[in-house]
Amino acid sequence: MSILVVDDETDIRALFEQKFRKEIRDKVFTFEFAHSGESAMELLKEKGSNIILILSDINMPGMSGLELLRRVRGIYPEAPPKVFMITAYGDKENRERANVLGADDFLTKPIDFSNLKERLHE
Amino acid sequence: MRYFTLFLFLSSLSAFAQKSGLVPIDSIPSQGFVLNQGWKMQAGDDPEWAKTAYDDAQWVPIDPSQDFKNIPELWESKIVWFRLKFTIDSSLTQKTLACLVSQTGASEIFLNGNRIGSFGKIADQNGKVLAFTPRNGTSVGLPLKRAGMQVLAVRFAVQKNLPYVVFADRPNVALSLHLIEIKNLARYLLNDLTPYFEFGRFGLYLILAVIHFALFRFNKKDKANLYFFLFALVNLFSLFFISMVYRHVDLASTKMFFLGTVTISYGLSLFFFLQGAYAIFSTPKGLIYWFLMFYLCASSFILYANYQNGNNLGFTVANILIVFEIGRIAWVAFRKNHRGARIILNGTIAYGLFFSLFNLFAWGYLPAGPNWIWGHLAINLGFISIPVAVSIYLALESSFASQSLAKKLKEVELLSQRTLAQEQEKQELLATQNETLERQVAERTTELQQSLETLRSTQTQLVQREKMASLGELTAGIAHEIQNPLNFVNNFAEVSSEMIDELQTEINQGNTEEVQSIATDLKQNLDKINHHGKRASSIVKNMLEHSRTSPGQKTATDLNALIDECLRLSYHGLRAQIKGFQADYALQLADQLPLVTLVSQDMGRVLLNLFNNAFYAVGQRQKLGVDKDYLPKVIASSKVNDQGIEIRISDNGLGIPMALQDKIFQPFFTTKPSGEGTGLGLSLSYEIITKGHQGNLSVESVEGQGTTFIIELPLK
Repeated sequence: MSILVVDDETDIRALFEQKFRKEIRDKVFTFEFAHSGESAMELLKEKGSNIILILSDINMPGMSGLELLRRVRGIYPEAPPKVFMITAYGDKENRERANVLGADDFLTKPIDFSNLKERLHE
Repeated sequence: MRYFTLFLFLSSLSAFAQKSGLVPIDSIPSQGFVLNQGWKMQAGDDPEWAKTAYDDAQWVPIDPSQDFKNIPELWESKIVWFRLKFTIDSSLTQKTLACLVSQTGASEIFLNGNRIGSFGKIADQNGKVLAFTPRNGTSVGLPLKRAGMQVLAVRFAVQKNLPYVVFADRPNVALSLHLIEIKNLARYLLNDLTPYFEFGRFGLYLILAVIHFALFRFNKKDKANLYFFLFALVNLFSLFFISMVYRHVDLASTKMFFLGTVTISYGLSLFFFLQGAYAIFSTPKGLIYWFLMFYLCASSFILYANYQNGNNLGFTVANILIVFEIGRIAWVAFRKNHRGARIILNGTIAYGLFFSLFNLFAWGYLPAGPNWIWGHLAINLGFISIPVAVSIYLALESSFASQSLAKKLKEVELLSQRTLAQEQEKQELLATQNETLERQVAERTTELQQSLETLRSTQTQLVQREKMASLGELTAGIAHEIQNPLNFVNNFAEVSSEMIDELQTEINQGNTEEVQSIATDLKQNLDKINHHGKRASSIVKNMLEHSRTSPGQKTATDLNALIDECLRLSYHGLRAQIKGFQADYALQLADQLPLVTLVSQDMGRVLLNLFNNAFYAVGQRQKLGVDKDYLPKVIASSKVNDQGIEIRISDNGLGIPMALQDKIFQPFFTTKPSGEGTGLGLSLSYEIITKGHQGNLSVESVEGQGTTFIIELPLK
């Protein structure tokens, strides 16, 4: 089970690896990281159905998170993979657009990792 | 001249008693008398005829003192003889007598058979006779030794090939013997006042000639003076010949030549006088004038060609007509109120009066006084009345002209004074106006200076407002940009805290390897926290820099990083402003971009401005919703070329119409709705790039397709 994290902030990787240190060590989850929409699409093509969840930021240079969502849902109209969009606090418009495009859930920055962990376990 | 002989003739008439046969001479008046009675004439030539005893009973009685034209025998015969028998009282034998001789011909005079005088040369052959017209005062002595009968015989011949001129009405006397006592001769001759008056006239004409010549010389436009000068000159010429030459020449041929010349001169003088009179009154030359000219020329010609006939009536009439014509035009001018015409008119009237008076003296109707003084005066005053009137007229004209000039000069002076006063007034007015103007200019300058200062302060305020406006636009972007590092700081702090718990557990469990790993991560996390903290701090610092008013320092700057930061700030800022705004943005930055020395805050402001514009443009196009597949996109690129560094900020927004492309860098130009833009962004950006960094900011845009702003910076 791979979780693809898409964010142009490279430090997101270190954060996730540390937050999910045990899960990674115990191989409960594996994390894939992409720093742009384009590289996320490539990874998705490469890993295919291994990726059950995509966590994507919306505001990224080049392909935005919403565009990525639109493309993913172009390939996979329904989950899996589930797509959780990471949005800034109160970004209601993007949430609505993401909903329309087929997002499964939303995470608000800063990411509440304990909450995320619970939902991932679900 | 004419009156002189007339005078002699008339005066002799009164003294000589008319008797037939022997002429008795009992006494001789002091002025003498002409022997013109009792003469007999015979054509032919015989020395016997000189003798006392010769009987001349058959001879024809004649008066030889008449005009020789009237004695046909003189012309028919080569030689004629005159004889006069007279008796003298014994008292006369005591006196020395003489005969004043006047003649037109050649003569030999015999007294009682003895030749007492010879004048000219008598010859048988025609053409050999030499006529002699003795000068005034030529006389022969009459040696009358005894009382009783005396015989005067004169052998006489006419020189027929000579042109005999009749000057005026002067007769060419065939022979006139004026008997006078020697002792009275000189007084008698001196009693002839004619030369004095002629000299007087000569002097007058000389003065007139000089005056009129001078007047003409100094005012050549006045032709009247020229004509009067010529008139005076011709008269001078005539008088010179009459008084100086004619009187002192004996030879008839020479005298006749002079007389002819003088006659024509007299006609010429009248011609000039008439010209002058016409010029004075500016009288148009009409029919009368041309008739007179023709008549004068014709009569002069006839006179000269026909002088042997002694007919000068036509010429005399011409002269009288000319005087009348002068009178007529003076009268016309007088009627037309021509100034001074009265003077000429009076002159003409005086001429008429004096000549009438002269004729009364001449014909004995009035006593002419001693030595015929009144007659002389009348004729001379007659001669000079018109020229003198003309001279007075011209003097008056000149005086009027002078007065008029003086008046005009006064007017000119007055005018000039007035003009000067006006000029001065104008100058004063001008000076006042100048002063007012200068004051106004000074006031305006002060006002302008104040306005300029206000403007400068306003500009500064505006620039500041622009900065603050763009800052306002960026607030959301800044918030977003700060949010990310803060999230990291929070997240890393939180995870570090968790990891310390874990570390504790692992230490307790003695799991050294894990402890090591956690410690490494912790160290890394602290670095991350530090890094993101600084990142947030840098954003805040930049924000503060942006609103700074003092000029910034040039520092070596990583342009790529600045572009990246500004692009993000701008994008997030705009997203916060425009609900639902979404755009693609890309960075195509050069790999090896050298550090550039620039005022990073200023450059950041430029970049932010250009990015804001780019995102605004794509946003506007998206908002229009014309094409469904439209993907808003902003691309920032940097590259190094020969000229330096080139930054291109491209968008696929609405584009700028060609007509507006020249204006976009002008201050306060904006296409944004009122209140949305200050219109200073691009102008300030342009100033920062060109003046602040010696670079160039240009635009390439296609309406409906997009815009690219190009920043070119030199590499120093």
